Amino acid sequence: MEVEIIFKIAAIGILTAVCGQVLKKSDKEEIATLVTLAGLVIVLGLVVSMISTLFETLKDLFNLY
Amino acid sequence: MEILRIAAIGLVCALLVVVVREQRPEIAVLLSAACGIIILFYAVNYITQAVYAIKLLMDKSGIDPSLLGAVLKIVGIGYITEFSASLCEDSGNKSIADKIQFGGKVLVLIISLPLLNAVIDIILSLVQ
Repeated sequence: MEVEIIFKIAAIGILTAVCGQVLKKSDKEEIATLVTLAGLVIVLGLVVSMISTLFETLKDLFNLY
Repeated sequence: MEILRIAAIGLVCALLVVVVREQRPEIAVLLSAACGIIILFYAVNYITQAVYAIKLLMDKSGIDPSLLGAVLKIVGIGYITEFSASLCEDSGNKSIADKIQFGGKVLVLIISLPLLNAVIDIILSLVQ
């Protein structure tokens, strides 16, 4: 579990925001929506795997079955 | 100094969340979740040591080990409940956070019922 993942997520957020604005300005609303969705899915994948690791660790630590 | 590292991670992450929230509020929520997970991972190392020390103490005192298991379970449920409820509250879902806390309370009650039974058994044996 490293700190770089925070910067990675923030970078994805800023990047999708910029891409979305550029695409919106050039009248490509539907592609902008897809970019937003793709960014969200990528970040969600990263965070969900982190959450599952955390819960597994806590489960082992506190004998939760 | 671990606390300096934790504080630095928190501050940097708060700044990044403020920057991202303007454009993409949904990614900001996930970002703060990732920050919370990383900070918790730093703390988990020390929780392991604390749990080990408590286990040693329980061994010395000769209390039934199943009681310690129940107490540890309750603490774990507390941590997980608090973590996910505050995450839901951050994303603006106060009502879901309340439901998570309610579920946590019910589970804690279920786990602690055998302990209550043991206490009542002790009291009854003292009375008779």
